[in-house]
Parts: sequence; structure tokens; C-alpha cells
Amino acid sequence: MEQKKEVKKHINSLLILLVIVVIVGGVFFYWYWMMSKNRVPETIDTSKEVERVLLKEDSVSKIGEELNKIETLDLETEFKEIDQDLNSL
Amino acid sequence: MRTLFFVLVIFSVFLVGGIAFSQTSTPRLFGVINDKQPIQAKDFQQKREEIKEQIKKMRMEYKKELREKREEMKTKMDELRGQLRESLRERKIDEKKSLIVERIYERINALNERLTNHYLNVLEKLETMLERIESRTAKAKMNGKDVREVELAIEKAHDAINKAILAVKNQAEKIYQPPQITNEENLKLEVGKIRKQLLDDLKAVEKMVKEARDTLRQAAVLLAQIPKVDELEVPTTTTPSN
Repeated sequence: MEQKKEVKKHINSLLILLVIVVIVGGVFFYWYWMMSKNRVPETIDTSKEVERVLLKEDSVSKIGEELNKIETLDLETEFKEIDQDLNSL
Repeated sequence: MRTLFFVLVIFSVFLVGGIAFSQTSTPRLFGVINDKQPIQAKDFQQKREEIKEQIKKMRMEYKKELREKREEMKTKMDELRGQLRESLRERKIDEKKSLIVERIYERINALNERLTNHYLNVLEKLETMLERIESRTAKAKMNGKDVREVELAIEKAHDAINKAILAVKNQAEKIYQPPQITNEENLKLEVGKIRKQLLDDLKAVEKMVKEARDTLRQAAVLLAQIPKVDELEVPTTTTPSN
């Protein structure tokens, strides 16, 4: 009888231990899941950083882009008003 | 004695030329960064900022000079306009035609001012681009890349920009003389002469500005041929190439 009580006590302890393990495991799993979830935006930030570096003011792509925008005014167009007056003389 | 005089003349020419060139030459990043010495990214950036500041200061000084010069030129132009009016009146040119001639003369000088301002703006942008190309080239060199061809192209671009700046400055300070008034029949011909003169002068300046832009573009093209050049930054320990 005494032995049976002892075994029951052990089983209860094991059950409690199991419950604790399950809870700790659950908490750990939840924490890991949350961490993985947080890692996603970090990946996006890194790619944004790469993009920022590529668009630096002294990057060749940016220089080329801005050089292509530099145009000189068309001389013939600029002389149009003078030519109109000249033709009316 | 004659030899000494000759030597002194030659020396003076070089001295004056040197001073004139140093006053018009754009400050260079290459001039302050010694690629044999390791440099921290922070110091590199600081040098760039200093150069940019010097370029900005030079531009502002010149703009101030030009504004003052133009004020003086206005007085001179008023005088010349008065002479033209007088000449038209003396030759008894039709009133309507006289007004047109005066307007053309006014427009000739105004167009010169407008276009030289435009060319100066273009050259300012090119100077900014040149500094950026130098910065990227210096970074590539510090990462052990062969940039000799780019450096040569940069030198060409630098010279071309400075020559163009000088040409635009000379053009900006020009005052066109009024047309010679002889009679009404020759009016179109005489006025056409100063129109042609301005067009020829502006074409010559425009050619130099375009050449400066093309040489700079060439430097950018050569720089772009360095693999992954945009990803290179100032290294923590520099490995300069020869």
C-alpha cells in the first residue's frame, strides 16, 4: 500500500515535470516564432540599405543619370526673336 | 643684358599665367588625397566637403565679380544705345525701323547675358559631377583597382572644364558695339553683322561647353567599366595600387 502511494507520488511528479516541460517548450517555441517574424523586416532593411548605397551621389549610376540631364539651350531657338525683328527691317 | 631681359619677360609670362590659372582652376579632391597614405572614411568625407566648400566659394566670388562688372557694363551700354539712337536720327531712318534696330541691339546684349549665365550653370553642374567622379575613382583606387585610364580621362575633363569656364567668362564680359548706320537700305545688312558676330561667338563657347561635357562623360564611362565600382567604399586599411 505504502509502495503504491510512493509510485503515485512519482507519477504525479513526472506529470508536473511534463507539464512544466510542455509550458517551457511552448514559451520557447512562441519566442522563436516571434524572433523569426521579426527577422523578416530586417531583411527588407538590408535590401533598402543596398539600394541607398547604389544611389549615393558619387555612384556611377547616379553620375550618369545626372550627366544625361545636362543639356545646352538650342541657339537657333534663342535667336528666333532677333531674327523676326531682323526680317521686318 | 638682352638675354636677362628676355629671361625676365618669359618668367613674368609664366608667373602671370600661373596666377591666372590658379585663380580659375577648380579645386581638386585628387590634390588633397594622397593615395599612398591610409585614410579613414570620416576624413575622406571631410576632405570632400572641404573641396565642395572651396568650389562653392569660388563660384560665389566670381558671381559677385560678374555682377559688379555687369553694373559697369550697363553704364557703357546706355552710352552705346544713346550713340545708336543719335546715329539713327542723323541718318533720318524711319521711326518704326529705328525702334526695331534699337530693340535688336538691346536683345543682342541681353541674349549674351542670358546664354553666358546658362553656360556657367552647365559648367557648375559639370564641376560637381567631376568632384563626384574623383571621389568614386579615389575609392576604387583605395580598393586596389586599376584606375589609370580613368585618371587620365579626369585630367582631360578638368582641363576642358577650366578652358570652357574661361571662355564663358570672357564672353560674359563682352559688350557688342551698335551697328554702323549708313542708310535705310543697308540697315538689315549692318544689323545682321552683329547678329552673326554674337551667334559665332556663342557657337564657339557652346562647342567648348559641349566638349567639357563629353570628356566628363568619357571619364564616367571608363569608371563604370570597373566591376562593382558603386559598391566600393573607403577601406579600413587601404591597399593603394601603383
